[in-house]
Amino acid sequence: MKRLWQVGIIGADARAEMLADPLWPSRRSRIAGWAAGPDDEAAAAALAGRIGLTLTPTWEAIAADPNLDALLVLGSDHRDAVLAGLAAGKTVLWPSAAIYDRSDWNRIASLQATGGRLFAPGELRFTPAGRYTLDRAVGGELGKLHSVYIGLRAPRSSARTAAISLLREGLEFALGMAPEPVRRIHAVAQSLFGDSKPDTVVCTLRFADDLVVTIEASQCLPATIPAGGPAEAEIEVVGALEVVRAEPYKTPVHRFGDQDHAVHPWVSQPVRVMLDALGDHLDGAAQLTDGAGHQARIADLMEAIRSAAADGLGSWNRA
Amino acid sequence: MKVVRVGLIGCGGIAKRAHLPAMAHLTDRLRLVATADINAAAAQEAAAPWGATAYTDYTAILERKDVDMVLIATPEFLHRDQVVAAAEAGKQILCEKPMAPSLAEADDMLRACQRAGVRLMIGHSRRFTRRYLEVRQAIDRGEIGEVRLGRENERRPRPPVPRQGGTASALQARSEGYWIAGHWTSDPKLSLGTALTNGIHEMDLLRWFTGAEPVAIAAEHNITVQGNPGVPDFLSFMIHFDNGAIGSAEIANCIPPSYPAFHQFELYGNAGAIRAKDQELLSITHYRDDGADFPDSSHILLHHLAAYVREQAAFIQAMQTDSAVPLAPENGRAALELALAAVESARSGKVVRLGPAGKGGRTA
Repeated sequence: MKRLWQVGIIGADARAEMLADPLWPSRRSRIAGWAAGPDDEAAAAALAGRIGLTLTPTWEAIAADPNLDALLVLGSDHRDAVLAGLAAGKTVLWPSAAIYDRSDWNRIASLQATGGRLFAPGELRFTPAGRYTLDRAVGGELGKLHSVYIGLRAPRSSARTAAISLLREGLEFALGMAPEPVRRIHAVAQSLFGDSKPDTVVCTLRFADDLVVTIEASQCLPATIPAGGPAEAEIEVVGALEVVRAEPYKTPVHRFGDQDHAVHPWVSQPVRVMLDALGDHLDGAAQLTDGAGHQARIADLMEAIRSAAADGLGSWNRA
Repeated sequence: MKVVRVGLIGCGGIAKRAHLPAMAHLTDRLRLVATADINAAAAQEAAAPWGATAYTDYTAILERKDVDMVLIATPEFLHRDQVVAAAEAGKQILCEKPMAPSLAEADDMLRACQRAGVRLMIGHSRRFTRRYLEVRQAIDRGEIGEVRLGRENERRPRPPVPRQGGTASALQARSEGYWIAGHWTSDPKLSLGTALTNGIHEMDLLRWFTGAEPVAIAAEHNITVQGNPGVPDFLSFMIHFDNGAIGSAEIANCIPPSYPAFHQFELYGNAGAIRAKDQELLSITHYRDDGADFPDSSHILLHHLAAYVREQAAFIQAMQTDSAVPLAPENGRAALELALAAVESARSGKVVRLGPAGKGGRTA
């Protein structure tokens, strides 16, 4: 019988709230500890209590705990916890990774060299609809790919870095089916709904094989439009033969009780699948699929998009 | 009110699908008296139900004293000569979009109509579509505040791709036959591609809804429809407006015929949002052995016919009440300017900067 791996959780954001659903534990691992991230200790205590864990007082303690095999870091702003876990030689699963440019990635890569391992695959890729879409696109069922549209919409009230995180999700997804180098990028990033921080990024990426990927990531949803998950996601992959259209976060689980009606988005499922993959990795049965080259590629593209959008609508061309 | 006597120039696809059916709804205010097309059979077919006279040379219509208005439903590369000639003949002119294939030709059209004192309206039909009229009215009422972000993705069916052992099926009828060999839309000498054929609609709508002027546009285009010999039929573009707003769209013309939708429209203001996504509005789905079908969904959802009825009625009303047309032709020029800039951007790989807001944009 395979070993059940011990996982510690750091973070208590909205995504963690969804994951605390009693259905969530993976077949390959179990949660052994929960700590607040740098944010909300009370929320972490409540979440830990819901699944019968004692709250670990500090995230540093979880990151350094020798009894834990891996860390699951929930929240995009918990970079220090990720770095501490990697420095302690742990495998770190960071679903909403905040690796936004090459310098971020270089720092992580140097820590990986000492034995830590980051698994930051992007949630969208691991949703059921996302996996279905990627499988068909990569498997050739759609014919030669002509275009990919990825629309990602987050509530205006979400964290101020949400648009950038969504852009990264979009890139993760697109690169899952686009192996060729990017030749050109057009991009614009703008604060449209709030303060001066960009809350909207629109970009097109033209790949060497002429595939055009359009990503629009925006914190544009007013409070009256519930995202139903971390964001709304609309994906259309157009091939010469067929089209796949998917809305990966739009298929929630509804639970009806005497007193209330709870909606659980699919967001817990991708993390369960990731935890299974993590367990297989720790067993040595499978390699994680987001290798260093992939992460470096995303970091470079994030930087290229930033450079294209530095002064309004602009372009980046591969030298 | 006097019934307006209409001459129809061009009796091909858009005339058959939209303008002639719309005219049939307006028999109380217009009468089709003449038609013209280089294809004599098409001209005759259009003329017959009205007892109109069919010609193969449009100038014959312009010579007739009993024609008050011409409706020009030809490809854009013919518009300049036809509009200028019609203006010089004193006819009122409703002309299909896009206005022309170049700003120089558009300016010739504007000058000729101004000189002759005749009305010119460019038929940007979506401005007369119920869905978009409602949107504009909601914006005017302040219901979503200032428009900050807009997107409309447009999806149009391609002809079915023959596959081994497969059949074309009844869905084949859905394709409009654009972008295939032999059709002018796929001839690089005659067409600049989807930026002018489809994308110009989205460009016009985004400009209308934001109420702002574009300062920059970037675009990518591709050839995707099998059998298209050389004109871009796919476009993805983004526009930056002078008030900071962003508009964008992706137009794909190689969608399998069973795809249910036409438009995915989203508009976000600083005080709310409006969305109209065809997929969410479908009411009929037929499930067959080889897939699902959504009968006439695009026509129902776009209210295709009603838009053209409204467009023609608005033009005729301007004539009958001796007032200005509801959509000034300069809007057609502004949309054309954007479409041409999108082509330039897609060809060069560079962002195209547009003239300062309020200064009339780029010159020809």
